[in-house]
Amino acid sequence: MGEVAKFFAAALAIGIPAIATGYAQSRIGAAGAGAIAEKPEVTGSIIILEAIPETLVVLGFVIAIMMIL
Amino acid sequence: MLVPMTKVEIIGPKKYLYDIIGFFHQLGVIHIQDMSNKIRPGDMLVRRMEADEESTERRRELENLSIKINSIISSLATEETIKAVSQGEKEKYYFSFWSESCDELKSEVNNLIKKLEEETRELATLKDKLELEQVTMARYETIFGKIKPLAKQLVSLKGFETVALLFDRKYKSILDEIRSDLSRITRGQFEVISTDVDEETTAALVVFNNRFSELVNSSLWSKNVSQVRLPEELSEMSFEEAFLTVRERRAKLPSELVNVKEKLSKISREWLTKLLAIRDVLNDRLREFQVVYQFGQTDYTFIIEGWIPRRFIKKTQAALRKEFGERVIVNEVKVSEHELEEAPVVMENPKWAKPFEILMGLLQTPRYGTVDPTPFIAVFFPIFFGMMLGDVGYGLLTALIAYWLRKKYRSPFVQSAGQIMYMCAASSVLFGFIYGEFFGNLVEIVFHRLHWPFFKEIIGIRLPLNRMELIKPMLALAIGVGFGHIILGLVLGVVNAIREKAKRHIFENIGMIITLCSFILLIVAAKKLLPNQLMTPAVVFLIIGLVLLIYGGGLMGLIHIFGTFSNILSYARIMAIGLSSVVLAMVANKFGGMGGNIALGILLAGIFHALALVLGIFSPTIHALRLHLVEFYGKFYQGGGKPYLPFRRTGGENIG
Repeated sequence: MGEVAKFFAAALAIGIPAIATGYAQSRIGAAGAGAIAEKPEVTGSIIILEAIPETLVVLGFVIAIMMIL
Repeated sequence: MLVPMTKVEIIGPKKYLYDIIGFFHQLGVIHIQDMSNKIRPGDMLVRRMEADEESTERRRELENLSIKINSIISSLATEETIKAVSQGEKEKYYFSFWSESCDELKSEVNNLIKKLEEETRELATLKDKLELEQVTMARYETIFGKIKPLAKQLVSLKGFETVALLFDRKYKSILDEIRSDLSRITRGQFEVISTDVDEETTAALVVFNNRFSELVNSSLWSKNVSQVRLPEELSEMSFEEAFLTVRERRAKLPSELVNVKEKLSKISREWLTKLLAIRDVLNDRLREFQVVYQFGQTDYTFIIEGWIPRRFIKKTQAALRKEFGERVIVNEVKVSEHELEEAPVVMENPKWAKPFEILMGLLQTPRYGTVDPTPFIAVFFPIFFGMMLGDVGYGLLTALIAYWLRKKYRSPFVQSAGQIMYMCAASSVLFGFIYGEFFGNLVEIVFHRLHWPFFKEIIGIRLPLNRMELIKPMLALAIGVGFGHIILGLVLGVVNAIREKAKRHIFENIGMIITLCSFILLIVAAKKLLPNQLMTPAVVFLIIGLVLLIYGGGLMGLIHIFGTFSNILSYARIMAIGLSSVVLAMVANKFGGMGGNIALGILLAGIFHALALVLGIFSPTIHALRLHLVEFYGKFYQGGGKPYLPFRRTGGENIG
């Protein structure tokens, strides 16, 4: 039973941050596409902005791994 | 480092004005400050400079010439012709044109324009027409090919007009509308046949009595259906003949186009270099005329205000003295703190830090007098990258990719980015040895163990450090590195605050440093890792730090502590991304092992390793960059500087 709870918790730990990151990056991507369409010089900055919410899912992954191992 | 600048004032008799402008244009070091907005209209002594009649007239003529030359160049310039231009020859022409006086230049350029303008314009329009015809002929051929069988079904009657229509297949229903409309208008004297041209379009032929031509045409037009407009020559023939004519024409077009292009490139080969040089000369001369508006004047003298890098001052003064004697003087002006902020900013960095200057493009130019962050990011960015990627195999592949990129693309941005990649790759290889990772745990799978022999004796820890096992210590390391980096940022913030004489900021930053250090000391002493007597001094320091913080930053200073703590914790991503990189490589190796036979295994593992490589280059770059730009720079960086744009001659392709 303990094992099951552990894996379930790990799944939640990676799943929920992933949904949050997806939501955040989708909004950023949509706004970024509009900005690039008007001013192509900001492409570099937009790519960087797009990658900033990545942290959420990476930290969630770390917690999941720490639980499993 | 931001190059130190001096503000200068150049004063001389008005008759030397244009000579001085030419002199400084040649020298190319002064960044001219616009005086015109500082001079008030009612000022007795100093007035705004205006160009006189003669110069305005000359400027207008040069502008006209510039426009015409530009249009000739745009007819001749294509990718190949531009590449064929030799920079050396262009510079030779540039200098020969520059040495001519305004009138000589004008007459020579006018002759050139007279010779070339008409011919190039004709050829360019002909080329565009032929290219357009190519496209339309291709379309017509397909359409006529499809309409031909339809047309056979119709009898060609005199007094009846045929109109061909094209529309999207999904709007086929419009045919019924057309039928009903036409039957109403023409009282049944019409016929409509349709067929599909390709997957998207349908063509239809409408035949109707000539009498109703106007009404039918307007009704069709109101339906927004595109009619196939036939060029004059074709509308008289039957569709069969039109099809053959179009096909013939289409066959002839390519050779005609090649002919025209050949003529254009012949002209380019002969004249383009000269034309480009003339364009640059005209632009520079025009710039000389335009810059006059930024000067000031009194009754007999002109006044120019500008900034020169400090190390060029002596040279400038010597050159000026040689050329003009004592009649024109260069004064170094003492500037107030406020004015120093307006000084232009140019960066100068040692060779190992220079590639990182391209990252400054992501932020505002730093303010003059602040610390140039480039050397710091040059040291720590590769370190963070290496700590995150940390794999010998991936590091070597990154170096290969950097080599290929530098070879393929010549732009300075890619060259600098390639150098950054080299440094990051070297760092990855170094940390790869420390972590004992070569394409993940490939070595452990093959050789069953990995152990660097001498390090336990030398440093006291057993190398390599396996990232999968040492998760918590790695986390502590990452946060420790973050702590150090943030403290460095705060120290730089103190330096900036001292340079700007902002007392509150000095206290705020020092207070923050003391608070953070004493916090750590407190935690360490509480956990009994250091002797317990340190508890009391730690608490004392903590209180001192908090007091300084509140004195420097007010109550917001206390809120900033939480911000700084979260910034430090943000560095945990170094461990997180590193771990995810290890796990990806492990998964890749496991997939390889599951294959069964070697070839399939290598293929599968190769695919996953490629994916891990892409993620492993992209992700650490972005996050190391973010750690610098957001957390590190947030502690000391001040934007709002003006970039250094010296009054310099172009000699190259781009205009200033």
